[in-house]
Amino acid sequence: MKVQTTGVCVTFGEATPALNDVSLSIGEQEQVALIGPSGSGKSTLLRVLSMALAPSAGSLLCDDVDPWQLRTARLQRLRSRMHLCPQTSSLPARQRVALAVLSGLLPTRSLLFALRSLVSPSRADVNLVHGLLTRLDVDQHLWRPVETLSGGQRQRVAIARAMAAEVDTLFADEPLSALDPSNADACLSTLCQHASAHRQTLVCSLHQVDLARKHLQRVIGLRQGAVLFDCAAAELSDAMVDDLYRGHEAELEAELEA
Amino acid sequence: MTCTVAMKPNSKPNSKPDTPPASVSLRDPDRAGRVWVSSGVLLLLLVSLAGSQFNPAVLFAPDSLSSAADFFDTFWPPRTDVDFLQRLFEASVVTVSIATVATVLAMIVATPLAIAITSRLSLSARGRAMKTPARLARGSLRGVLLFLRSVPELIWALLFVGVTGLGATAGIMGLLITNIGILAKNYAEIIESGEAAVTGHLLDNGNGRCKTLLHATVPQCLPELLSYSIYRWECTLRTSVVLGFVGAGGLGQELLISIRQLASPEVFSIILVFVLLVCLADAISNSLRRQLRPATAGSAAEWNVALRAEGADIAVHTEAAAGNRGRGKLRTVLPRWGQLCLVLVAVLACFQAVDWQLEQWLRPSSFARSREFIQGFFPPDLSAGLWRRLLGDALETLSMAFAGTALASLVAIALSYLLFTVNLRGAGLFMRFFASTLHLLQIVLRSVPELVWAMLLIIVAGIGPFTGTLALFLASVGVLSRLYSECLDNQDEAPLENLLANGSPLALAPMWSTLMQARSQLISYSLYRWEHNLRAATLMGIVGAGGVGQELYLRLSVFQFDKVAACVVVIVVLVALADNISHFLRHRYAPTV
Repeated sequence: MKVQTTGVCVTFGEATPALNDVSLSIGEQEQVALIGPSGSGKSTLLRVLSMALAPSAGSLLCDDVDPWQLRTARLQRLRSRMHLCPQTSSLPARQRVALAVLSGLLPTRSLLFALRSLVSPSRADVNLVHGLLTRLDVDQHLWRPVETLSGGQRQRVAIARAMAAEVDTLFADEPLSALDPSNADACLSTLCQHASAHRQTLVCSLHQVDLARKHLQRVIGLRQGAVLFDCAAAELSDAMVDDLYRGHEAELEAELEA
Repeated sequence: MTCTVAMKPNSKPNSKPDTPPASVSLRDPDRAGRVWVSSGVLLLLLVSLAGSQFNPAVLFAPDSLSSAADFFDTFWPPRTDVDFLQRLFEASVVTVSIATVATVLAMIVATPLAIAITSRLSLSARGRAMKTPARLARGSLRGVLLFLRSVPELIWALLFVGVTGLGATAGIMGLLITNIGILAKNYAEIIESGEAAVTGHLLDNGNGRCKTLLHATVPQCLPELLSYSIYRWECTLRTSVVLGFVGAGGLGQELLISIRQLASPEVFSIILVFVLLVCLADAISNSLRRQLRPATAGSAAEWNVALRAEGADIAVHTEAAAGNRGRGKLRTVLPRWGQLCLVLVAVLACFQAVDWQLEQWLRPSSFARSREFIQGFFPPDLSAGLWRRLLGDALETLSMAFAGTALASLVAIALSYLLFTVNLRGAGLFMRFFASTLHLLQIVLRSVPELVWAMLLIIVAGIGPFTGTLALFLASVGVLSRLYSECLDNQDEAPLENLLANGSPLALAPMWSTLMQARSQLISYSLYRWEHNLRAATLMGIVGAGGVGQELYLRLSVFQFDKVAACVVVIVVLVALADNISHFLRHRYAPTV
């Protein structure tokens, strides 16, 4: 899906806006990293792009359609073409992992699927889920309730759910925040490979600047709710990163140490 | 950024995330269990439908339709002349007074009993196992309390009417005895749910029981204890409404007379008064309990979570308390001491308003009668013929309770799911109208006691267990759908919002998130209700709606006390059994509540 914003602003009732005049365009099958210090508006931008939040001003175009002008049913159908993997784990705690991953398919599958999976998922679906979990190295937890998993394991289940979704655009909000560095590298690479194999657009907010450089094609730097730079990953220089994190150097250092 | 892998602290020892099995089977490990449990429940439902002679066709038979039409045609307008209203007002005052007096007296008696049975204040148990005499004493006292609360209020009242004749005192005694059993058990449970170290610390430092009680237990648990007592008052008021059915005074008596005379406008007025009274009690109890919420528990939800650990029907009481939040009007009108005085005056007025019938009680003839009465109970009749009948009656009672609860659970979950999705949609005018109609229906269904439903339904469906089942079903739909709705509303919204944001259909998304989260709590509520319904089912026979109560009422009216004793034994066994099964299932399969 092609996504385009023009002069998007978002205010949550505070004096400083969470997003301030953001205009960008993301083409089909592009793989984009959003980087920036905490509070720079990465999550808000992802929520706007994924149609979870209507912008206070400016406009959003998804495949040249403004979703917020559509009727609710059409909007919901448009939403089923993309998947947002939110930062805080939003998997129901008592759900089993298999079902949590399958819930990525809920928007595009039939009512029959929804009802029968609640009783017990079909063999084909279990195989699909198991394949995804294996690629993320959490396959042994297939039948465990989500609440018994650690934060990192939960996050990988959430990534598996995003990969299961039959969509053409994936948005991931800091999908690696609870993973250790080697796991983070492997998971991000799996996610990127999956997105290219399925010709999906991928927009991913990250704290790890080096991982963004390594795995994604394009990097957008956000600072105080505005776009500071928007360039190919290869063009990202250390000076630009220093600029981006000015006043937040501690975050960057902590990242490097990790 | 530091990589912190948050570990879930309370995961079970055998399911630590660090030690996963080597390879995982792709076969769903829960499927077989689910198939077994659901087919078992279905089979049980079918059996109990058969056992309770469930036959909705009866409702639409021409006979019952015409008799229903005769009765309900004249329902509107309700009777409102001043004479009648004054009678109703007096009866309501009696009903409220009976409930209040019984609750206050039960609180006074139950407090020392609770202190006696709690192991928290045991001196011999500090640092070692409790000594045998102490354990035996506590155990037998618990047994006595179990007996007291296993006989329903109405049965106690019925027995007391036999001793002292008609009147309010028999009702008070009935409510008092059952309430003592219930209050003492739950007081002890509340005391035991508090931090063990607080009382233990004082005891270990050589303080006596009294000092520990005053300095640790009371300050720790007082708000919960009071809050639970107020909830109990509300429940007692509901029961005291029907006491009149056995001649123990109050509104029930008026209703009984009106129904016997088929005076439907009067019946309608009385039911309106019921609904009003129950709603008023609900409001008063909620407003009082909201102020008892400790300052440390910031929100209603936290207070709710804190108390939910306590189990028993306390969970239901907190759920109800947390439901209506943020309307503390009384507090702004009156200061705290003012309210306390108000409550005190109201309680004293209730003591004043009750007709104690003391001279009737203290007459030598009533002493002689009580002796005769009690001697008549022993030994209970053990003849095979009676017990065969009682066994049939017991199975019928079990069927009524199970069928009523299971059907009500199904309807209630459908209703509350519907309401939940309607609210989610931020719906249009039609849906909002629909939702408020449902709310009104819920209020009416749960304010009218099961026995009253049974009396009304007898007019349509005739005498028999089907009527009783239907009555249990109607009242349970009201209660359960409200509890279910509150439970769904209290769940974490993030998973649902995420599913919706990803384009999941609105009608299905709550099934995959909210309902999934809430399910064990919902099952718990159904189990509580089943417990309650079994108790209620033993009483249905009093108005002719099936179950073991019918036999008891019959035998009592012809003074065959040994046979009455056998019936009481059956009731005690049934209620105690349901108590334990429900407790076991709740803790085994729904440990979150």
